[in-house]
Amino acid sequence: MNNKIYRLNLGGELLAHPDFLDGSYNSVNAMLEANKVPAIVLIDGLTPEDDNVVKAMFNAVCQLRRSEIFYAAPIYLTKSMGKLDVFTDGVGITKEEVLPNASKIIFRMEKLSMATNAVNDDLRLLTFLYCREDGYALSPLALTVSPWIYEYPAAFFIGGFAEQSMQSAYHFGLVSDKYPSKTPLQSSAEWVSSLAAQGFLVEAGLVDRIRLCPHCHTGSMNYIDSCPACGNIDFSKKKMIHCFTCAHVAAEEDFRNGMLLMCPRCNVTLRHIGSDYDRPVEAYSCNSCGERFIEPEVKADCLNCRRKSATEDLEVRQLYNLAITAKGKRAVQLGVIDVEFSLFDSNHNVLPLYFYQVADWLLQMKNRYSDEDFSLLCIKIVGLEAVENRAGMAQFKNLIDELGQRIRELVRVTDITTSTGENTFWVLLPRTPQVGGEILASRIEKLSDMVSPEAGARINMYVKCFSISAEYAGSGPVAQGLLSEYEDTMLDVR
Amino acid sequence: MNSLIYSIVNNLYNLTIAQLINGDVIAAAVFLMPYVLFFEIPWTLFIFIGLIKYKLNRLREGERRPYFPAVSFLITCYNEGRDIEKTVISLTEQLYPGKIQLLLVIDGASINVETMRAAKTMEGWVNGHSNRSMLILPKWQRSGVVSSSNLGLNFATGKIIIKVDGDTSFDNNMVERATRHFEDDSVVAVSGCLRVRNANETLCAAFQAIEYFLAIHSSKTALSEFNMVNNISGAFGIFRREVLDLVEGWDAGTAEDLDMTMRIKNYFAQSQKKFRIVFDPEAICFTDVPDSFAKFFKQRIRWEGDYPFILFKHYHTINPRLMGWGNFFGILINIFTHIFIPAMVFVYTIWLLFEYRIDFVIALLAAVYLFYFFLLTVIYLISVVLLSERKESDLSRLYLLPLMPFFQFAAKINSLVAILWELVGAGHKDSSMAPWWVLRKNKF
Repeated sequence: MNNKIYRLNLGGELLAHPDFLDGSYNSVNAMLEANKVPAIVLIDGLTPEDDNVVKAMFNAVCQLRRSEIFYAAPIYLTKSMGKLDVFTDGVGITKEEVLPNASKIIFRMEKLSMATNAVNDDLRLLTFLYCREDGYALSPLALTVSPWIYEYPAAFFIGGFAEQSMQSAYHFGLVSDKYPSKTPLQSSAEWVSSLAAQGFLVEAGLVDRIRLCPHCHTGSMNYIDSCPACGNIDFSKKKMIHCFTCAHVAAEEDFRNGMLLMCPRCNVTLRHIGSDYDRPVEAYSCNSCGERFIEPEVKADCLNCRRKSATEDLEVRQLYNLAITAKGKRAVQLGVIDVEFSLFDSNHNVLPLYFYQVADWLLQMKNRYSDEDFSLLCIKIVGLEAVENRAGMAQFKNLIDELGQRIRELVRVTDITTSTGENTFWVLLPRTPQVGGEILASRIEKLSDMVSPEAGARINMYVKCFSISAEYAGSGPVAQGLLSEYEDTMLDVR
Repeated sequence: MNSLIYSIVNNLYNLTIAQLINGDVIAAAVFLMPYVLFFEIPWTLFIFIGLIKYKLNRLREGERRPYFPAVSFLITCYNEGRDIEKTVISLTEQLYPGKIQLLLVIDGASINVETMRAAKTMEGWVNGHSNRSMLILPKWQRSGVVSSSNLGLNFATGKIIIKVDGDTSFDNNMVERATRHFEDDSVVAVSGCLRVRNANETLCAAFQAIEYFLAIHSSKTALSEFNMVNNISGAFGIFRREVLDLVEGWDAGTAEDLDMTMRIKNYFAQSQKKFRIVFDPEAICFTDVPDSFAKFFKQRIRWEGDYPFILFKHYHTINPRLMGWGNFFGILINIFTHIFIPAMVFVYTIWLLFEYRIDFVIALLAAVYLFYFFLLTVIYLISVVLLSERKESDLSRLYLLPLMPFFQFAAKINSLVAILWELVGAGHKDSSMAPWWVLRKNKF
């Protein structure tokens, strides 16, 4: 095996033996420019005490994981950087320490087209996982600087979240409610859980459960007890006294008479606890509205958006270790990831490539047998991002599920579906002339009225029926080209 | 029966007038002896004057000034078990705004598991209160109450040290009353008022409740007005921290309370400083007393027997020039009531029975009884009116007053037995306050 090992020199003491290195670079850019084939990267010259070096190391991992070639490459440190070690594949300075694992990663990488898989962040992350050993799982890591508390280290870098965190004020905790909405997927945790929901990743053990603000989805919550009547946090414990003589029960202050306790009702001096009086309960009194209560209400105060929520309204996030599924592996091998939002159930949903082939085959049939007709429906959904940003991921998923459910009711079992873009879906209707397709199209289009999340955000579906003329048949596969042409005509409707 | 009573009354009349006129000195002395010996009238007058003086001062006392020194409690526990909860609760519940530290010294903690467990369960609750803290000091090996107090002193942070027993409980203004006197620099210690918690449980306890009220509540209030308080109870003593440091804590041996009082008195007298020990009848501590006569007499044998032991220990300092006349008189009165009177009463009664006819003796004792009963009732009623903070409860025991002289007489005979036992058998070493292996090392 011909595994190349490159050193990235961050300027400190060099620990890796030069004998087994195939190159040494002083910057990530230089390394990326010189190499178009993935290799093992050793980050050397580390001084954990030097903040600049720590920052440089963090940046280097950011750059490598965001690059076209090295995003899945094995990255090793020559010296432990403490907590930061989990951002890389490990620590090692000798071939024996690095190669056994790293060469397997390289071996798998060589079988893939790294550049093809680099076009899409989802695919990059899946490729990263695919290249690791079987049983490798993404593990959530609690990062106190992250507003979402937990991040998945690999996803954190590959998805560009780390880069973003360096640029934003987020490690000062100065996040605003606007910040999380800058990217549609708010945190690496949310991203990987959406990949899991799509079936590319599978849960491999529950690690933790946290609660997030239902408004801004960040996790720095202050659980504060407050007055149940007015919500003010300024309240104090009031000791209650029960007079044995007349059974009067009131706050201690009502009984206070100089240095004695005297019952305001029967005027008896209460001298001895247990024989003259006792304390039936400890109550609270609000210093703002005067309300008396036994138990203060605990509210979750979001330190990011400062909105207070009832604890039962908080968004619960379960954090799992996540491993790649067979579906995820297939996507990596084919270099295609179908963005489907599970709008159609997987039995009828196929990859676009297969869809084109079926369309071409039906075209040949249509050419050969005149009674054999078929139609194509293109569905374009507009307004998904708006809904997602406004209502949050969870509600968005519900909406998509509902939409999918209704569409599936209209589609026959013999129909084949695919999606060619984030918001573009195709339905192939065999033995259906254009007239029949148009009817179905208008029915699906009407669904957008039935499915609307909240006031303000609205989903619009544009559906158009296409019929491929039989004259195209015989000139080889044409479906792919035609479909993208048709799709372009859909742009007008936006 | 009627003739016997007639004979008694007749004898009484004949004796008083006739014997005096006839100049029969011995016979007159026989009759007058109880009056002279018991010096009860001047004593009652003295108490009465003291109470009036106290009441006037108390009415003029005015508002509490913002002086709230930190207070540390030395709570000496042994096998009280869950009874210590009452102590801890009533101390935590004090209305005092200053800091209160509770030091629970548990003697023989390895065997007194129940006490230890009860203490542990209270710890969090106490520490949850502002200005209240609790520390448990387990002494795994039993070593006596004196070492418990001295151990606790090492951990005490307060300016005022209050030593209490583990089975007592307190009125909620106790600390407030007790501490206010220390604003006066000459006050070295405050003696607190002991009351009987189980007064309504048995006849014996009810008698003791009356006795405590007269001998402590009422008498010491009066004595305090003349700066003649001569003992600070071991179950409940309040000290200025600096003073305990000066006398270097409690001394080994029994009756450490009386010993401590004597040493404080001596120390201050020697250094020619003015000092006072105040008794405050409103700083009230409740304690359980023996509920049967057998237990009561046993307890008194121990207490009274300790008295000559302390006198013996301090004999070289009992001197009016060393300790001042007031205190010297206090000691004399104590010797009189503790040693001389019990002996006198005993010898006198025996002598009467041998020397005179039975109807004459009964007549004489009846007169003594009536006299006693009268004084007792007067002083009890005056004390209830002027002092008692629980008038209803104290008045509920009025019906027992006719029996009180008998109770007191029995107690005095018992004292005498105790003193004889002390002189013969060194009874103070037979104390339950410390194990024998500790006591045998003591010098006295």
